[in-house]
Amino acid sequence: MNKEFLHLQIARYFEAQLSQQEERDLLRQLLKLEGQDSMADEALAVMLASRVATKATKTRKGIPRIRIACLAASIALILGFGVSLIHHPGDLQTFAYVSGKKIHDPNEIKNIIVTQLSDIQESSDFFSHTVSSDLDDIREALTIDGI
Amino acid sequence: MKQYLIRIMALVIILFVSLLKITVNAEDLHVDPFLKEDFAKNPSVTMVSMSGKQSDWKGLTSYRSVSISGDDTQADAMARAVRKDGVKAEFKETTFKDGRLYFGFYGLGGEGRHRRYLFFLDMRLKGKSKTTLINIEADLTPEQVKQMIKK
Repeated sequence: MNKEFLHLQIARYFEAQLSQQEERDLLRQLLKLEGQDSMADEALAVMLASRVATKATKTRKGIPRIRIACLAASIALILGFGVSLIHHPGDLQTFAYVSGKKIHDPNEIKNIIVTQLSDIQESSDFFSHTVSSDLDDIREALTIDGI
Repeated sequence: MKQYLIRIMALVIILFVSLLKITVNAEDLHVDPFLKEDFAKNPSVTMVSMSGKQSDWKGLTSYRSVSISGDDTQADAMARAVRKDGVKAEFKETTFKDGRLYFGFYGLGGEGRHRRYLFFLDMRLKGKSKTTLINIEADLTPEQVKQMIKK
């Protein structure tokens, strides 16, 4: 890019007649010529200042996006919290541990419960007069199939 | 921007109040560590946990039981925890043998479906190596809980 064309491009830049590509090319040239041409230096200073201002404007423009993201996150939080409240009472959480191992076998779990309740029933004074002979009701009531 | 901040603050307040309510409802008891799933990973422990639809048996909201066999240290610790919680119980029915808690039935308060009851049985005092703790949450009176176990 010769000096004459460079000055022409600078003039066009100040008149806002350059395309973005031309502006980028010009900036590249101006950076190469830094300190060699007063007009080029002036244009470079303006371009760089303008870029900083543009960047700041973009940042401000970016806020609505953050707002939208925050709003979406808020809605998701509220919905998630609501759903957790609605679903919590119906959550299916049945498990047992035997000797440190988790089990899901309904029959095994049923047997543990029946044994524990039977122990309580047989050992406590206020149950002693009705010592368990009929745990069938418990077995029937504890329909754990489908765990 | 102000409206946005107000919305965020309102959300934070709602979440904070909700969490506070949950925390208040789930008042910590000394027995709670024994009822946690982590404790069940101990080989001397047998645990059953039932909540949700499966526990919806005669008004139960949840059922969690822990039996410790062959670990006197843990069994003693659990018995101590039960006795400590028993001090604050709304009511209790207990049986002692040789100065040690053998059987306990405690009502620990709570509202509605989250009324909390504990059964404790230390069968070591009858020569067996087993100590059992049962935690029940149910919208039942103490008498109804007893009836439920008795049947």
